[in-house]
Amino acid sequence: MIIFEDVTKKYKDGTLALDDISLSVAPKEFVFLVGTSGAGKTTMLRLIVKEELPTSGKIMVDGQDLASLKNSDIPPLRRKIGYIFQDYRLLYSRTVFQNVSLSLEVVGKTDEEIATIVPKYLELVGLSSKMQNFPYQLSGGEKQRLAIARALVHEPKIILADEPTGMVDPSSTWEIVKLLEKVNSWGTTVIMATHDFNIVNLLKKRVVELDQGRIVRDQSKGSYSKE
Amino acid sequence: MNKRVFKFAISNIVKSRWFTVASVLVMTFTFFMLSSFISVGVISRDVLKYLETQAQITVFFKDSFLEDDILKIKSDLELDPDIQSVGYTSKQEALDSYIGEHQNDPLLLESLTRDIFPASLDIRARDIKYLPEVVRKFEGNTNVEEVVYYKDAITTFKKFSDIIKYGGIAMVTLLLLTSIITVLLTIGSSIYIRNDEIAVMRLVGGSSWFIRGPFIIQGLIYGVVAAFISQIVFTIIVSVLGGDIALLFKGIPVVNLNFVYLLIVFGTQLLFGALLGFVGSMFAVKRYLKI
Repeated sequence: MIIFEDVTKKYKDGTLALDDISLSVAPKEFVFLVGTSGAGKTTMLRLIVKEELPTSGKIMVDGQDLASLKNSDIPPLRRKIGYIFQDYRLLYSRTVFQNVSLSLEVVGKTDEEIATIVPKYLELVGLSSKMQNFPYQLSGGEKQRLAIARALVHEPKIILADEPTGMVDPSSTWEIVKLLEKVNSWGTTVIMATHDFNIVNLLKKRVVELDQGRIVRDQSKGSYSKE
Repeated sequence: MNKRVFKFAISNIVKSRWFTVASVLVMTFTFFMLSSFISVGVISRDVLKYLETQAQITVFFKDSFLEDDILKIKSDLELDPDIQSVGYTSKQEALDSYIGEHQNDPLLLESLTRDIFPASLDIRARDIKYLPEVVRKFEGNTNVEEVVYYKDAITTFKKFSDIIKYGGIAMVTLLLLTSIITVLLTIGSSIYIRNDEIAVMRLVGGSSWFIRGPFIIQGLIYGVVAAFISQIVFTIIVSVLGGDIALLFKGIPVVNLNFVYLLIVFGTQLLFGALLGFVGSMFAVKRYLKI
């Protein structure tokens, strides 16, 4: 599903974010990307959605070589991917319903389709009763569940979650992790970048550890410790 | 057109309402000045054309010079390929014409006789450049009382007309540039206001048209609305001043500022409005909106 071949990313200021990374993620896989801040986790996720371009190397997503994609091919690529951020990236002038519906509006769904689809996903994340609320009326955990609903609503093949539990309380953390596990069980590939060793150790999924832009560990049922 | 793209454009306009007012006002002023200069330009072109078709040289002959001799000169002149026409005005015709023009002033007409009006030839060259040559033919002729040469008047008017034309072009160009910059800044502010939304749209796979379209439509709406407002103002002014303009150019066939003329002006304004709004918003999208 996702292949990195000898990928290096060096920023203009000289920072080496990724150093000759090679990695393959199979369809329906759940992968934890772990490592300290600045290890290169976010850069990897941004490369997958072509928010950034690699300095060298090749990246394939769902059979497409990202280097060969034209600008007009990028939106269709991104529709295959749901992206979840640590800071939610919600639109505070839009209601809960409207935040989710935006993902469908951009792909040209009709109002009727949107009215049918959005409530299903809000029910999935437990926000049915807050459809007409605004994001500032939600708790941290609810905001992140809303962001997950937005990422899922167009039924992506891949979910990229960048520290999704970084700003929520422990009980919400587990709700979010369970949700991502459920989505993965439906056949969606999930890549989750995290610092949280409790989650990693409990779920016993594949763990890819990054350190200073290099992969230092890749275990199929791995764990993660503080050191 | 996708109705959501249009809805976003309307929402942009509402969110940047004061910028919108500024943009529309600047564009309205630009289009009004454009219409005004076009109209003044067209009228002065017509006046110039009229002046050029009038007698350009009038040669007045001494009373001692006989009519037959004048008519002989007329015939000779008519053979000249540079001369377009020659008209003869006898002493009697000159008197009749004067009386016709001043019939409401009996005191002035009281002591008039045909003897005080000289016979004359009105000469029109095919081109204004041939006039000096014609004048030279009569200079030094002892039978000629006076040669009245209209070239200077026409040249002066032509200069005046050119100043209006080129001054107008310069001013309208400057205003068009100002309008484009105003639209650019307005759309730029709309893009800034919607920055978060744009970032999310990009990540959920919004197409280039879905993201950029609202801003381009926003610019087009500004242009079209400004063209409408300018046309309303222009129509009101033409309606109020139309009579005075007609009176001012009485006898000169200048363009009729009628419904058809106003429609042409409106079409021009709409075209400029759409073009200007489009160009301004495209610049803004290229400058401020990276996808």
